[in-house]
Amino acid sequence: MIYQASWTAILVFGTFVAVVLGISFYLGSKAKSSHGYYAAHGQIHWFVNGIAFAGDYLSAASFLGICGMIAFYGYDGFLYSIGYLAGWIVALFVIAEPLKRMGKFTFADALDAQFHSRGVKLAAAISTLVVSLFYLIPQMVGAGALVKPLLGFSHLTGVLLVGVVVITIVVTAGMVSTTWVQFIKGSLLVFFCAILTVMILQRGFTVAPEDLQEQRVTVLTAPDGAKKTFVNGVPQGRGPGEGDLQPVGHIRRLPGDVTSTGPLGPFEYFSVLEKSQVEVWRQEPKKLTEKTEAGTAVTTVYRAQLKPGSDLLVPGASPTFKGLRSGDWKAKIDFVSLMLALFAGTASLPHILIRYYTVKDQASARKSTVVGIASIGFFYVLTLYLGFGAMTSGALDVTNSNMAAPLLARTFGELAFAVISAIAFTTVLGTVSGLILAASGAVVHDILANFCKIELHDGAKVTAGKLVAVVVGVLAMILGVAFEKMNVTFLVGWAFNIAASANLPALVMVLFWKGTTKTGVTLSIIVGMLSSLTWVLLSKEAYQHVYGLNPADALAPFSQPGIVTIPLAFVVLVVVSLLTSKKASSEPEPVAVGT
Amino acid sequence: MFIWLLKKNLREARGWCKLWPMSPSSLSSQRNARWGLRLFFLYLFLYAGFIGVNALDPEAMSHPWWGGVNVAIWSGMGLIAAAFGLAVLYLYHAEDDHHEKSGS
Repeated sequence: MIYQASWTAILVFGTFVAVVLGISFYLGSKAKSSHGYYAAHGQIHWFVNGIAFAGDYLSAASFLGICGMIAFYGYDGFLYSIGYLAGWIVALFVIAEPLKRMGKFTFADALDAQFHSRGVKLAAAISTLVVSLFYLIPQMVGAGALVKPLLGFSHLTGVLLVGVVVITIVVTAGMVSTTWVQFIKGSLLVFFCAILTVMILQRGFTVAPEDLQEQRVTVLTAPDGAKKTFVNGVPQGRGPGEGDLQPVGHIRRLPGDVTSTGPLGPFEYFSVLEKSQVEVWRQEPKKLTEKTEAGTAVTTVYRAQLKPGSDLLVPGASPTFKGLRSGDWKAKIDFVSLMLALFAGTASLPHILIRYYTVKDQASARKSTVVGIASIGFFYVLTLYLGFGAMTSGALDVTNSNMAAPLLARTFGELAFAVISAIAFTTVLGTVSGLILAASGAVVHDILANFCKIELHDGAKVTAGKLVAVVVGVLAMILGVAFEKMNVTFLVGWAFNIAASANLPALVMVLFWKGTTKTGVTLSIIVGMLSSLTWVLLSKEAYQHVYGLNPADALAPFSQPGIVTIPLAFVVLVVVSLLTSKKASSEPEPVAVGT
Repeated sequence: MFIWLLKKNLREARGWCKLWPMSPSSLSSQRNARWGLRLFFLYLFLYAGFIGVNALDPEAMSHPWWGGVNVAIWSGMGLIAAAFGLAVLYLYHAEDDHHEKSGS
């Protein structure tokens, strides 16, 4: 769909960016030491840190991806919400307090607190870098996709804009400004999504008259490589003789054959939807390819389908989870594996873990996690209303599920669209700045200072951190452009699987098993990281979307590796630790570090 | 040789079968960790049950429950609410070191 930039949107967007940068410059004048740069002096209030957790965690995948998936396929997107939130249970009950007690700047500190091993530090730092980079790609791709409709810029300009703003935020004041950007973003996201949900419930459902039953998008690639898009046979555009895709998705029949429900309660909303008939749009599995003198034309056909609401309120309607409704055991294992990776991945994400060092003590770490769980959980409940609201209000664009939430807001007016789009943009800013900071800490603190033993005084550590932040930021921009066509949710799944396989077994065993040795930890991180990475690269999604090969030839038996690679990393740690425990016992007894 | 070494160290590695916080700084940390693990396993049980029903008997999720809303919606929202409920319960039971409360 072609989007027109509006002055309201540009004004709201500009104000958001100006406020965020203003805060960064103000706070930048206060943070001078490395403890200030990487851990905000450990003086962030637990409530602010809790909301910043939400700002850090609710990335573009959560806000845009989940809402879009619910808007397209119903309940299936909510499974991600449930899994993403469940991961916080591991963070609060298992990881938070010991991690705070044992570390200083990075999670490698906590892993290595009792070993003082360069191998552990290097392995932990590399896994931090790998996970951060994989998580950065979908955020940058999401940024490009967002700026395009909002400001009318190209994908490249969108990525560059986000990159420059984020690097400025991170370089000016490090963790202090990053925390406040995430706090502002977290509060705005939850607050405005709550308002949007109230508006959805107040509007209720309305039956829409019959309209289009089919839309065709043809991309014509000329022999010289130039591409042109046609919609239903005419060039895509807003001028005379041109056409554009229509927003789709409507209620076709309501219970009692009424035409409108009026305001609905939060539970009544689902009971009415359950008994309604909803028009949803599905892409035809086969694309039509035609070769002419003008070039190669590939046509994608989208057709309207009438579905009972009850079918959309249970799992298994999307291509990702359709195997749940069949007897296909591989699909079921894939589902269990994904839910395991989401459960175990959260407490292994480096940008989440470093947030525990910004508060003063374990009590604050605990309280801030509870605030995080409350705000994130509340938001995930809202995703159901936002998703189904987009599905039934004629807001959807059949070609881009990522725009479901902003397009839903547009049905309530231009201002709502501008605000939600600007919040979506700050969503990307908040998460990207956290990731860049985590990567910067891993390089400077873990690799340069602790592994390479390069003596850096406090000011040099900050300068080196800023330089690394610029390098990682530029790298993220390049990857964001290179992976433009890549599926965002797929990449996020990668990051969760790698984080859970590489980091969680080592973290849990260091905290809970005294037989753990440094060799066990190092090998567990390496095996977990490499096995999950290799598995994903050999999966059918990678064959199809990355290499353009036949997915049936994929070597990995199912797509999500977590169910194999997480236990594998645990086994490697236990076996190697048992084999090397004699050596370990000759070293000094482990001692608790910190308070 | 490998098996022998493994068996030998397995015997020597005391506490291998008893996973418990290995470096608590104080009694309160130890107590918190115990509470944390109990609540963690309780939630894991609920979460695994939800996944198990979805994987093995997805039909069960479509049954209408209270207020005309189906099992899928109630159980999903219930899991999110349970996470918050258990988190608050943990906060209520958790203790802090004396010096931590007053010192920093």
